Amino acid sequence: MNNRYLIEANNLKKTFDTKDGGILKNIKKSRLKVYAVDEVTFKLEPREIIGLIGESGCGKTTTAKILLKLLNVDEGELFYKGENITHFKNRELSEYRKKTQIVFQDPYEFLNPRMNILNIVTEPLLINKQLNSENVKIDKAVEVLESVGLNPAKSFLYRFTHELSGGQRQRVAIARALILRPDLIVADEPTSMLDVSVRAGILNLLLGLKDQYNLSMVFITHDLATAGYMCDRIAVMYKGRIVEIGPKKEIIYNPRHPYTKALVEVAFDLKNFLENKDSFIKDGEVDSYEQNDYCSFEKRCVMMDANCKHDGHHKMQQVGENHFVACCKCEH
Amino acid sequence: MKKFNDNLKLFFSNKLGLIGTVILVGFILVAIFAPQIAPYDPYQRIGVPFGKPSMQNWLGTNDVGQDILSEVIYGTRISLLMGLLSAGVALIIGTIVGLTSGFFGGRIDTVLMRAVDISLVIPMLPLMILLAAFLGPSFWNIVIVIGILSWASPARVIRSQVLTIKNKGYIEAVKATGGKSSYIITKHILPPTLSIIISQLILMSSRAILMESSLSFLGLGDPTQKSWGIILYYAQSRSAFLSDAWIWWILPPGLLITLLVISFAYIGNSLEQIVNPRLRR
Repeated sequence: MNNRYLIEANNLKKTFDTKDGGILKNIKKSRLKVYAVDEVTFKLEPREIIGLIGESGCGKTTTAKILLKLLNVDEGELFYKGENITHFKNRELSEYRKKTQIVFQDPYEFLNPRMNILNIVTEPLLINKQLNSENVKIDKAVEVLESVGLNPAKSFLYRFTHELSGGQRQRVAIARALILRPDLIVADEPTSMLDVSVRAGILNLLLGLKDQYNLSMVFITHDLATAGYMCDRIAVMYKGRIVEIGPKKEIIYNPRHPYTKALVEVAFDLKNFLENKDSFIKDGEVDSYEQNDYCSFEKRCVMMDANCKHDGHHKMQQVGENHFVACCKCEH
Repeated sequence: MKKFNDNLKLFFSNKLGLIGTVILVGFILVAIFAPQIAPYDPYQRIGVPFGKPSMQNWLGTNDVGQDILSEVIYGTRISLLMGLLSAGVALIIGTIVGLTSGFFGGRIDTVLMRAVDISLVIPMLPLMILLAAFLGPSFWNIVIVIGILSWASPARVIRSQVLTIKNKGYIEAVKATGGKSSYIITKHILPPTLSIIISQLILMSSRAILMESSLSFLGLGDPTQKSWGIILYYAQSRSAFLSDAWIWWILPPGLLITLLVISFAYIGNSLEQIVNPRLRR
């Protein structure tokens, strides 16, 4: 195993059992399984930003939690710098935990309202026993707060989260993620709860920090435009599977999968999309209960025909340099 | 600090809470200064047995000639202390159970919550009598009996609070940075649960005082301690109910028990309104 990649996700699989109440129900029919993440495979190089995009419920956040080892996978393997960490338990994980951090979607939820900014930001140091004295604590907090653009940092230290704006809170959350100098930051829709006016600021901040701290990033979003701005590569997910993955230019200018095509059309030519909606996608929502072997996009695909069931399979086909797609109509 | 002041204002804006506090403070003062307030030593024979109220003995004397007023005043100490200690034991057990059950979930949760169900369903009084008789009458045995019989409902309440906090994003963030369970519980889950623990402690105290009185009245209390329940027990066994003596021998401790329980209940309810905003009007 070479160490060229920071993270290698290999065939990750995670299903959840649905819980339906009542004793009798369970006897009648077996429990349904939700395929949250199904055979997700990708590799992440150092200093690379990969975007996971897809609609809500498609498994983006579950993938993120698996990457951070907050959830265990049912199947598949996860490598960090060539080391298999799939089955690592608490103690073995402590190194990995220092090197990977998360920034959540909702900065209101992410920060404990009872703690002041100083304690929130330095908590990762406390947990990992890297705090020697109060002075070190304040110095480190000031340094990291300045690097996320909260100036003057000293004036923020003893404030509480409810005294900050949404954008400021998200900056605090990013500062907290940075203080341990991680290799990887998983950003789970970091801007979707923010006002449009402060989004660009946060995105540019993340891009700047990536260069400054040599970060890799997994950037989760449902917005193709944001992904196009931030990412080096984009992976499009549908129903727990990656349906198309490739460099962002390929995805945006040369989408191959029908779902990606619809996404791109919405982002770049909304008028055309609305006028010819039926030629792009069928209405419906993600229903992750059933999963078939040939195509996860079956029910909403406009190109679906009998051949798909016959020769289709959801394995990825290479269609260009580093560009893979899971659709039998796109083979070349 | 501002929040604390707000809560204080909210607490006292509720008249019942204020009344309860005043009564409770009164009881605490009486308990602390019992030797100064009481006219006689309650363990000393100072008059004729079964004496009627007089200028020397405002509430008369009991069957062995001890001053009933002094007994009642000293009884405040035992009853109050017993109530608070028993509630403390109940809350310690309840907090541990509620925290583990809520935080770890899964099979542990199922097992502990079934135990809570059982404990809530069992008829309290017979079991209490059985346990008290089995352990024998002493101050600490009564505290333990009441404690282990009333942990269940605080455990429930605390568990539900833990469940709410557990799913907050910042808990997940702490996990992602490598925080251990013990760290998460002490730093992030216990502090916001503390207010609920305190309000439960107050409510449990009023129940514990009632339970202590019942046990003592049934003759299962510590006969060497002068609690209100014990006074009632002796009054009953000396047939005070059948003579005029009930007016000065049974009524005073009975009323005081009621008053103390009510004051705890008032305080507990007002505290709950602060802790649980949905109860506010």
